[in-house]
Amino acid sequence: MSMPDLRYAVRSLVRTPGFTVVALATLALGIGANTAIFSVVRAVLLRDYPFQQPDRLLQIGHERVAQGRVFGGFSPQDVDDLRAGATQLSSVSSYFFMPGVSTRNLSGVGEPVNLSAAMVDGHFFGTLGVSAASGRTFGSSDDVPGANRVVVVSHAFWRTHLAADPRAIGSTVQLDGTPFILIGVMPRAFAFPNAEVQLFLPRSILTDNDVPHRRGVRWLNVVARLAPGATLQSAQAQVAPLLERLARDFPESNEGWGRPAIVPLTDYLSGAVRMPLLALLAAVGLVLLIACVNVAHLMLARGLARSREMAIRAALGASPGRLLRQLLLESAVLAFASAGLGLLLAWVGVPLLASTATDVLPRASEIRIDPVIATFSFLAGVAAFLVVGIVPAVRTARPAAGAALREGRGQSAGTHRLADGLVAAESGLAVLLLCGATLALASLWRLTHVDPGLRADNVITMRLLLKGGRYEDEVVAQRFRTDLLARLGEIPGVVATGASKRAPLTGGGEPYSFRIIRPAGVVDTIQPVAGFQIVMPGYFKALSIRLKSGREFTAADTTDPTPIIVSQALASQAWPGQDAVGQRFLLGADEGVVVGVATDVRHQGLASPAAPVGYVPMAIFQRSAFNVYVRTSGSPLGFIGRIRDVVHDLDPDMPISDLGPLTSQIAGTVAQPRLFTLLLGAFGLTALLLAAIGVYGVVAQGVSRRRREIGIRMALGARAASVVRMVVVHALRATAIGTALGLIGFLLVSKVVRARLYEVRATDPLILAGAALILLAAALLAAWLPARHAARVDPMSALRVE
Amino acid sequence: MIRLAGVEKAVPTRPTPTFLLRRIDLSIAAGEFVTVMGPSGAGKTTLLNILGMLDGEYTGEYWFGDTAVHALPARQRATLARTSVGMVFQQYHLLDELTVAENLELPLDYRRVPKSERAALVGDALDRFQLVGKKDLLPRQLSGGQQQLVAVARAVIASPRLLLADEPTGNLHSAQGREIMQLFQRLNGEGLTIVQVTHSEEHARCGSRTIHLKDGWLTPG
Repeated sequence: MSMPDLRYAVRSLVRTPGFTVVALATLALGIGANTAIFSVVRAVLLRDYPFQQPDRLLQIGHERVAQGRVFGGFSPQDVDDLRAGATQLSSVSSYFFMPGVSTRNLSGVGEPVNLSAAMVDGHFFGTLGVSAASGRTFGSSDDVPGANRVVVVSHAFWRTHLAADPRAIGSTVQLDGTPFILIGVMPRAFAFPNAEVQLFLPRSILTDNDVPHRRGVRWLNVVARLAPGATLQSAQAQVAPLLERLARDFPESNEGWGRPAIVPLTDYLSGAVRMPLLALLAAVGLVLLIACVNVAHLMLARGLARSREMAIRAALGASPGRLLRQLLLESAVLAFASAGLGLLLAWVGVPLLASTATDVLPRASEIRIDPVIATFSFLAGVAAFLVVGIVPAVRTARPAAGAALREGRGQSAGTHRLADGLVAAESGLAVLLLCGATLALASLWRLTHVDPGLRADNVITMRLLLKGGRYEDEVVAQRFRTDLLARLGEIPGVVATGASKRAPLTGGGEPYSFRIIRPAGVVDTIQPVAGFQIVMPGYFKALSIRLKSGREFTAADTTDPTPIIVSQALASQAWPGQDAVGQRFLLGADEGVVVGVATDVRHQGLASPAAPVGYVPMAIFQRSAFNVYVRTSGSPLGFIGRIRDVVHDLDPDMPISDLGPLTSQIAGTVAQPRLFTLLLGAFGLTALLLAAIGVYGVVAQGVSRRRREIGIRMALGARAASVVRMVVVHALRATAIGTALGLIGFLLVSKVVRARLYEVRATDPLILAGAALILLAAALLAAWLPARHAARVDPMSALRVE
Repeated sequence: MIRLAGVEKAVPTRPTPTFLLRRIDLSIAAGEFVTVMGPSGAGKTTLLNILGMLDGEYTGEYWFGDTAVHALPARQRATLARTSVGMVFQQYHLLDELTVAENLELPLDYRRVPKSERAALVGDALDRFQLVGKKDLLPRQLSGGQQQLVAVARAVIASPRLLLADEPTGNLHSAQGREIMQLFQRLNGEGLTIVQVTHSEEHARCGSRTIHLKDGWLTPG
């Protein structure tokens, strides 16, 4: 390559601005989208976790056969037994973190705020093999009563609340009104167990009052490190009999909890998004391929238009190799300029993508453009060059010199077959993407239109935490909750108020079991699959959950006997064929009575069927964190200010979290499938548009090429309609062949998407036919526009040109 | 059969329009074989396009039998052309991808002649024009004279009342040209009205009458 060659290549592209702009924009969009999605894949799946030897770390839970593969937690006693007995594990640590539940109120630094906190044991940081960025983490000696008023904070906390002050180590931080010594700041990349965690507190600050430290109450997550020489299989082989033994030794608490669920920690953190992300990467790769096919066709058309120029050059003595080199150089300039532009687009788009994905993807904060991403962009440019550059350059560089000079034309049947082949190829690729996008959209539509069992419209929700200071007194805390609901109920336009520990449709029911003494003296132990929801009076009315029989909780409910409300599914499970209201049972040592039966609610999420669930009153099962629901008679947004005023009237220092419409919060529970579906839909639409542009280009070029033939046909009596039909049918033939191949291709890979669909079959004939029809309709429109132009060919001028 | 009265054709140019035909008054009786002659740019092809009803952008009157062609909407004019006029061109204008038989079938297809009838008519034409042995050949496999023979056969296969030929022998050598003229005379003898444009005095003499055009005007020979 020489500088004059390069200069000529650039000048040649500049001389045809229409072609260059369209080709650059098409390729840059494809490369930019690929770069952006690859930056997500790299951050979430490929970048090393900031742990020492992350592949040696395991997440350990319980597999419960009756409830599918659930990462059932551990009790502190079970963790101790695991640590003592599992020699295949060099280190075992436990932590408690439940989004929206494990929080602390920060005061004394600006406005009081409620922050996510993880309560981690003294082995936690050592097991992960991480050190503080400044200060230190804590160990076992800190995780004991009397020494445990220490806190390690996230890098985000240090920046946001401490202005990145390096002297903050050793300072005091007020959490729930209690002073904690700040001993360390974690590195920026550390985002475990979750990016929203800002505080790491010793597990021992949770006392029996917070969570009963009993073997049957499993509230701890377990992370362990494989011992040197140990493997996942050897750890499994050792932990399984250990848990079986605990189930045998402690049948009251551990029966049914004898099977371990052990996965590599990295899989646990990103396993759920691995397939969707790889599917997105494949989808966006298809978009780039379609873009390349389109540009290849543009290059071919441009080559045809330049056949006379090539013939002249050849006649002047240019060798085929010299011509080929020149044309390849033009393609390379185009491809690498597109890669640069694509990288620029990704640089603009990736921060937007990262902010959208913050609550949806793990490690979203690590999504960024870096040298590896830039290299990927460059390689995408190389791939684009190989696809769009070589074949058109080879075809253009071998003109039938004499023919081209004599006739001013140089179009071979092979070139037109190649153009038809390109249309078929991009149609096939586009239909492949459209099928995936249409199925994902259908799945999301069904998911978001499923009846959750409650009504979220016209409801404002917020989350509060009553902890520390005066709220350590349960009577005070309960009075606050009761007063709050009463005062909120007095706001004009509010029709009902209620509260519960867990936000709706986020799971997290407390895993209690109760016993029923059957008439023959047989004892049945029932553990509702969705656990127990802890709620306040008004909850059912505020969320419009219908009571089939019995009554709501009231302020007068006491522990003698403990009242519970059961869902229809739980009533059928526990008292089949009987009226559940009035039935007695044993909840621990206390007697309970069913006071009502409520319709089923999908507490474990929209995608999970409504499982049996029980409800107990918060007046008896007091919890510090709770969610409030305010149902209004009209649009609820106007009530937000007044709701905040009521809270601050009761306690001016009370931080309010997640104040907003319940509909938004519920929409947030399907944010991940929504994001993936929207991205897939966008790629599907882009593919559709590119395929339509491709068809348009090929047909328009075909019409131009067949101008003489069309003129003759019209001179012989062809009607306009028959000319349009002839052109469109020819174009649709290639599209239809591509579509059929694309459909076959999709059926072959449909297994991949099956697991991600909700109540939609991956081979649903209506949806797949719909996707194919959308493409054919777009192709029809794209072909019809130039075909209409063909029908207006003036036979006189067409024949005269000849 | 044909009557033109005061036909004028102009194309818009600046500062004044350019006239291609001026005040053409012309009558052609059924069964005539008329030759149009004149230098390049005289308006011969323009006149032929108007007669062939391919061009409707003119002023004046054009009567085809009792039909006022000048007053017909484009669609009806196209229908009348389809049923009444056959055309032969200097460049043959056969469709390269179609065989001889398929080229012959095309006008019948456009006139919606039933398939069985089409086959019979194509068979007749192949026989009549002695093309049976070449029916499956592509145009590029034929000589120029043979291609023009196919073009003539295609022009008359749907039994038009008028055959228009724009320099039909322009691309042929003299022997081939004579053969085409003999064919035209035979067709004219069978009652077909023919209007041809030619530069050849010899070929003009094959017709029954010659008219001359110069700068768009009809001029005395």
